[in-house]
Formats: sequence, structure tokens, C-alpha cells
Amino acid sequence: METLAILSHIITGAGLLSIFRLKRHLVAFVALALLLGIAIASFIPFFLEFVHININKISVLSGLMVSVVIGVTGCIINRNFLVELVRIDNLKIRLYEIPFFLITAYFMYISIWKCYFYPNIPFDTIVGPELIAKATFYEGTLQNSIYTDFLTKTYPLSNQPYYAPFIMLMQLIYLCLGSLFGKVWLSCMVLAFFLYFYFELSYYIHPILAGWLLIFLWFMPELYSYTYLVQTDYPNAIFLFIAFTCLYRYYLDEIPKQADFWLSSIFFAFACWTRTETILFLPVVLLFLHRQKFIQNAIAYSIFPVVLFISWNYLFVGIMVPKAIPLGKILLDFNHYFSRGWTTLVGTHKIMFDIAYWNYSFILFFILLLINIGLYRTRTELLKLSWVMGMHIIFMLIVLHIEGANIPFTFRRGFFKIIFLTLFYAGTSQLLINISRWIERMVGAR
Amino acid sequence: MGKPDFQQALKDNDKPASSSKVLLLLAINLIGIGIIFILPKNVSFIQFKIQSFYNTKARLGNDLDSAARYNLIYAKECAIINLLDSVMKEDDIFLLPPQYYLVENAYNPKNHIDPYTWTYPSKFKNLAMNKVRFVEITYPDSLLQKATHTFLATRKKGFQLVNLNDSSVAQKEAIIKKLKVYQPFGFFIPQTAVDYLKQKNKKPWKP
Repeated sequence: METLAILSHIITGAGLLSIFRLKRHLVAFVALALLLGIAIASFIPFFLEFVHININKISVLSGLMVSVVIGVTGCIINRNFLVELVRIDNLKIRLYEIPFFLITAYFMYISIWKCYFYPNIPFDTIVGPELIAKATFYEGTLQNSIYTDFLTKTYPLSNQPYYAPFIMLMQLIYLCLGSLFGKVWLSCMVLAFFLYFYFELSYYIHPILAGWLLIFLWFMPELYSYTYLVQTDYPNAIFLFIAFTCLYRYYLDEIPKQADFWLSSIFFAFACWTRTETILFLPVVLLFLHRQKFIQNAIAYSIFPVVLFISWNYLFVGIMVPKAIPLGKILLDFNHYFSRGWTTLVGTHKIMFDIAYWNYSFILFFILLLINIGLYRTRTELLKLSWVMGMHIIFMLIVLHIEGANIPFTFRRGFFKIIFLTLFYAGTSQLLINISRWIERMVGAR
Repeated sequence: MGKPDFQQALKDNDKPASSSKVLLLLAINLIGIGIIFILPKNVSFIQFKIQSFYNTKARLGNDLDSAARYNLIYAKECAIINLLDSVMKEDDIFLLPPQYYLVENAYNPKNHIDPYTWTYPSKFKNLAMNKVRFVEITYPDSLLQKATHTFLATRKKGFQLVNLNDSSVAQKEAIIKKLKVYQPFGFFIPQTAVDYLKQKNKKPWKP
């Protein structure tokens, strides 16, 4: 059943991507289709709730079937595009790339096993999204007794049950489909992300350099743990990474493609659907829309993210189910503001440069950054760097001004978003692009 | 449909390489990968984390059923919930004891590795879900009076399940009153419980 569900995600995603006529390496296309299909599937329980249909195996399966029909229809309408995509030169994988896939298989295999084999462990998950998913599974409704009865009385009150719903909904879908611990979808997301990461960077730089960055991505103990532990941060960082990559293509293209723009907006919305505070990073993303019709584009880009943000945080939580605690309370305490700000800056840097978490990846980025800034000070490089720095600054403001946000947990896991961007910065830096050109000149081919 | 733009951009350098050049790139790649793999932190990551996972997988094999896999993580919690499930009848209600009460009266830092984190209500709710109905010490008295079972703790025996129906009304009220004295929950890891007990047991300084 899980295999069929995964297949349904790919078909759904492929249908929608073919409507966008998104041109990528075939493997990247399938990976992106899977990620898009998974995100789309997470809306099925929500839709069932709104039309008052009991959430169970049959209704969830029916929802997946409907999404497959939509996907197949999209594929049929755009079959010429798909035929073009499946050409042999868009499938090509070179001999020297094979070690990257073997290494990915080595790391991925045991991650999948751990994900499949063990029940959920992270505290935040079992007292939040998984608790809600289980109750919904047993009661057949998202307006279940956890929200209506349990949370209104329990102590201590915590905000985990009100987390943005993506992982809860995915757990629910897979529990309905008979998956023992639900988590299979996470492994699919991780594998799809790594493939997408590699092929996306290969678009800009030599595959060997892209592959080395891929290996650095694997060699991050903190990040690796969340490839098999269900938490909101990793899927959130994946969606946000895709949003950034699509927007970067939109920015770079002489004639910007609307497909990249809208896909970026949609994936940013999915990121908000996974972690609520993501909406606060919207200004950073919008930096890349400055070239033309900024206001108009910024409003258009923000529609999907804002709709999903409001749907969960103000329409579902608060109206459809009671809110037992105030969420996202803003602190406006400006006493000793600069000293607290300095402490936050130091604290976040300690996390960023702690090689126990990231091994050498952040240091590598930092070295490449220094060389890149030294050699190439273009507007594009600066804007890309502003993504990384902007995210960091907004995170510090979150730690200073949102109740419950802290450096050891909120920032440490939130840093996943930034570390992906740092590798993207490295992988699209002028330095590595020029080294790629040099390799290609030396060898005469890719 | 024309050639995709991103491939147009690469067409100059996307020519198939000769086999000798492919082998050269493969050699360069393997050297680079080798360098990344022998960096000290990366070596220890492979040895102590990834390889240990592979060893665990080999040790556990493929024959464990779902209950056994669940027990690998939640053995204690499962034992408690199964005990309650076996003893309590359909209408019975369990009174979830405060974590501070158990830590102060039954926690032995030398033997315990988990300071009763299963008493966190949302965690207990998740693990017990449809098996055990329960109330918390912070609930209104009218609901607490309906409780039929709870755990009482002693330093020597640890905690024991008691049937409150066997107690008189006065005894039951005394138990509830006693449990209400304690803060419900506050320790997530053993060290915080140990630190708390050390602080609590510290004798006042006398000149």
C-alpha cells in the first residue's frame, strides 16, 4: 500500500509539473514530482474534513486516486512535453557520477531502515503531530477529542499540537494506509531532496563539484539524524530550498519563466504549511523579485503562502478547533536589547561553527564565501548572500521576540534552512562556476 | 518543442567525453571523495554513527514484529500501560501521578535512567490512546473523585499501583490532596531530575 501511495505522489506531481512544463534532468523532475505529490497529498485529510467525510483508509485512498486522475490528465494533456523530457540525453548519468549515487545509497539505506523500523521518538513529535494524527486516525476527524477535550484541560500546555500541519497530515495518511509507524514518506522526501539537490547544482557547476557538495551534505551528523526522525524542520528546509532554487532560476533567466516563479511560491507555501514561522522569511525571498514590477510580483508570490498560513493558524486553529494556549506570543521587551542581541548573535554563531553538528560543511561554506567575496563582488552574489544573512537576522529576531523560541532548539534545527542555502550559495558561486569551466576546458567535456 | 534552455546553455561542454577522459574524471572524483572521507570528523561519523547503525540492524535482524520494535523504544511505557490495561475495567479511570511526586519519592539516580517522563500527559495520551482513560492532578475535583487507580511511591519499593476503590472516601481524598502538593511535570532528562534532588536535599549551611 505504501508503494502505491508513493507512486501516486509521483504521478500527481508529474502531472502538475508537466502543466508547468518544468525542464529539468529527468531524475530531478521525478524527485521534484515526488516532493510536490507528497505536499499535495497532505491536503487530502483537510479536504475530507471540510466536506464532512470520515477520514479513514477508504476515503484517503479515494483522495489519492482523485489526485492520480488529475496527475494522469495533466500528463496526457502535456504528453509531448513529457516525451521530450524522457529523451536519452536528459537521462544521461556519467560513469564518474556513479560514486555519488553509491555513497547516497550507503547513507540512505540505513536511514530508511531506521525510519521504517522504529516508532517515532522525538518528544516534540509524539506530544504534537503524532498525537493529533493518531487521534484523527481513531476518530476519523481532525476536530478530534485531543483538540476539543484533552488540550483544554491538560498540564503542562505546550504548542506542539498546534504546529503547522504537514507532518501530522502525512503521518495520518500513512497510518490510514496501514503503515505501522507512518514515517515512510519522510525517507521518500529525503531521497528525492538529495537527488534534486545534486542535479540542481549540476546545472550550474561541474557534476564532480556538485557531488562533493552532496557528500558534505551527507556528512552532517545533526542533519543526518533528521533524515529518519520525524520533525517539522527537515521537510520545511527541503521545501524552502526548492522555493529558493526555483526563484534563483527565475532571477537568472533573461526571459523569466512564470513556471519557476509560481513553483517557488507554491513550495514556499508548503514550507509555511510545515513550519508556521516560515512566513517571517518571506521578505528575504522577495529580494530576488526586485528586477521588475516588484510590488505586483511580491503580492502574487505571497498569495499561496499567506493563504496557507492563515488557513491553519487562524481558520482551523481558533475557529474549527479551540486554541488552548496563546500561540506565537510576541515579546516587546527592549530592556538591555543590545546586550541580549549580542548574546543571541554569539549563541547562534556557536551553533553555526560547531563541527559536532555540521562537521566541515559550514566551515567549507565560510572559506568559499571569503574567497568568493574576495574575487567576485557581483550583485547576484551579494543578493544570494543576503538570503543566507537575511535568514540569520530574522532567526535572531525570532529568538528575541517570539515567546518559546530559543537558540539550542529553535535555531539549531531551524539552521537546517540556512545550511541548505549555504551549500546552494557555494554551489552557485562564481568561484565554483569558474572552476567548473576550467575543468571543462582541461578535460574538454563534462 | 525545442531543446530545453538549460541544455542549450550547456551544449558546448555537454559533448560526450572520450573514455580516457571519463576515466580521468572518475579518478579525480575518487581522489576528492577519498579526501572528504578521511577528514577526522567524517571518519568518526562513519565509524561511530553510520556503521553502528548497520551493526544494530545486523544484530536485530529482520524477524522482530511490530510490538517488539515498539518495545525497543518504549519498553517501560508499554509495561506500565499494559499493566493498567490488564487491571482496569472499562469504566475505570487512572489518576496520572505528578512527575515531581514520583521523582521525589521513588527516583534513584543510580538505577534510573528515565525520570518518569511517561507522566507527561500528552506523551501518556499518545502511548495509551484508547487503552487507558486517565485524569491529571490539575483536573477539577469532581473529575479527580472519579479516579479508580493511581501509583503511590515509596523510596524502598518504588511505585505501586493502588486501587482507589479499595480506599475509603477520606483515604482517597487524602491521597489526592497529597498528590496535589507536587508540581505536575518538569523533567525531560535524568540529569535535570538529579540536579533537582541534589538541590532539594542540600542541607542548609550552618555556621
